[in-house]
Amino acid sequence: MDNMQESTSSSLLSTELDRMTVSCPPETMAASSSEVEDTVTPLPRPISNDHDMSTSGIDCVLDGEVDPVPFERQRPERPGETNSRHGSRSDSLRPSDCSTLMEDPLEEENGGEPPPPTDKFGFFLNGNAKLTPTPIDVDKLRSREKKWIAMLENWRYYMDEKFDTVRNRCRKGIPPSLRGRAWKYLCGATYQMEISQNRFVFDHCMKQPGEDKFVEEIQKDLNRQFPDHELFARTGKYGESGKEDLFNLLKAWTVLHPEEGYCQGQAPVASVLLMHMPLRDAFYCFVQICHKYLPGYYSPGLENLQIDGDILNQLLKDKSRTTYKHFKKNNVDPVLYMVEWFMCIYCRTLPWPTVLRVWDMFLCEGVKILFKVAIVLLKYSFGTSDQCKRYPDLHSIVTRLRNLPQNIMTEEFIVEKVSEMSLNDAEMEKLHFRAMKVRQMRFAQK
Amino acid sequence: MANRGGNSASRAGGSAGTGSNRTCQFKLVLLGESAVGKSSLVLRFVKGQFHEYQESTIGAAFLTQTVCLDDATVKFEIWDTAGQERYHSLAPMYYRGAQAAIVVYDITNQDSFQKAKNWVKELQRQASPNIVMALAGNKADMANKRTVEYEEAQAYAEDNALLFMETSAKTSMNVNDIFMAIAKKLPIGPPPGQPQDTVDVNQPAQQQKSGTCCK
Repeated sequence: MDNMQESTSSSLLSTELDRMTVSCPPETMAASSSEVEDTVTPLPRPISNDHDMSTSGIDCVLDGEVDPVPFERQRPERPGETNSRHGSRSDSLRPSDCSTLMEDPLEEENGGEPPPPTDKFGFFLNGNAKLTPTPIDVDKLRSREKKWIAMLENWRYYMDEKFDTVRNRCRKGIPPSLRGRAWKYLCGATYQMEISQNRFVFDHCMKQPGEDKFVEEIQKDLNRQFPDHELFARTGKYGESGKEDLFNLLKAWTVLHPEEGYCQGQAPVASVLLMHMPLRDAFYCFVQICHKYLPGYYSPGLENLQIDGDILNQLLKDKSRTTYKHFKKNNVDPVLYMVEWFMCIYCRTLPWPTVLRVWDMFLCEGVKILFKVAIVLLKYSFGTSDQCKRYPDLHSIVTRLRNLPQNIMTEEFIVEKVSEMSLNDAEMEKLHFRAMKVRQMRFAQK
Repeated sequence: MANRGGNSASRAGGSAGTGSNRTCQFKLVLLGESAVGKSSLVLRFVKGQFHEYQESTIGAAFLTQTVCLDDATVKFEIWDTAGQERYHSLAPMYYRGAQAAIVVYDITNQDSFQKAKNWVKELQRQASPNIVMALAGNKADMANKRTVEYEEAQAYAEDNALLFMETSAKTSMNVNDIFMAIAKKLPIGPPPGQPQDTVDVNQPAQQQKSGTCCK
């Protein structure tokens, strides 16, 4: 389980009091009943920040170093412990809930106009962009599916005793048919939505109207998420339902965290989840990502994101000195290129098959994956002095970083390089501690 | 990196120093509230395209476009920024060293005009002292939903010595024009042959030599 700890440790700390990270609802193991779904008992205000607020900035640092906010401690969510194990609602999917799991979603009665053709991920095919059909080894896929089903049924055992197996299987790629469910298990959403007292949080948040300013901000963005995906496109066969779900998910988040509100970087993440699972499931996964994987990334000030930028820079120094020196010479601050990468978990950067593979690994191993992918991209686009010469100044560098070469973004390449890269916890912690210190010093000087 | 002018000129086709046509490179930043059309203006200007549903910008995007003036070629290094308030803390990193800025608002959204004014104030305080600033009232094609009067914005622009145009990324009205107007106002150096400093857009504003960009 130390993998889970390491995965979150880097972003857990904060220099600012008001952005203490994990205000995750307390999770008790006490509640284990399975009458979860139908209970409508309204909860009192679900989240308490009190204990967080009493912690000073410095204390946070120490706390974090000694005891990184316990993803693991707060993550006893083993579906094996629940009686209502399998993905709650996945058997009541509406077509709009899930595009990838449905073989043949029902067409809406839209006057008989056939929906535009899409690739297997639900993205409209451009006239010129023909999808190269990737050959599928059916036997291999079947065998992986079986392994995953067995694993999901014995989740607790695998997570506690055979985490390496889980990790390796995530690195090999989760079978598409099980991806949504596996993500939910990996991030701990299953526990949250089925056993924990937080299982009512979604209903509670859905009922609230949300603050006007957040609602307005979210609405502005609804048409701007994956406009070429059938779930969110204007012309898709799902009509407005994808956007409605997206709105509800994000609005529910702002109800849960009015002090944080909505950040534009959140909508793409929520959208990716909604492509794979129903609204309620996606909400709980989303909350887990924001609370546990990327705490403070989306908060006003984006402090934790910037700290991770500094960490990335230090990491670059170790892993690809040529790149580091070239960037330093040209004042390429990590914030100039990593904001979208990290905030959106690469979903707007990499080709789609690679995005899904990165998410498989990320949800299993945590934020470390974001760093590793970044290092791979940087190392192989600016790793030689020739490459550096071709992009000799700040603007050409950042422009190239927005237009990375395709061959270093394929799923095979990224997964291979990420898997073989060692990045141990001690190293990460050291870098994190240093980044925090530098920031505090800079802050003090101001 | 002191001689970026030289680098860029050679990358831009080697026109530097030949005849009267020199290539000058300027950093231009777009600022303004979320969803006013900053990325759409850039997309129209750089690629001549318009997407009804433009993905929201997260962090910043970087593009390049060149315009030709009578006696010089101006290469814009465009920094298109995220508009949401949340990204404000990153903004100084984006406008640092910019020689030009377009502050964008949406003519159908009064709030976005107020935000634009705040951006202008911030740039006046924090950006390079000689920055060329333009105010763009975008979505001019939606004049029937207008809430910001042309005269009001024009008066404000005059008071603050800003270039001002109403634009439409959708119909492309005034899009090239506003970039052209900025190009014309930028300090194109004297003809080659005279020793000149070059501008290093990587350096913080206060260290920059204002005035020329060309070799």
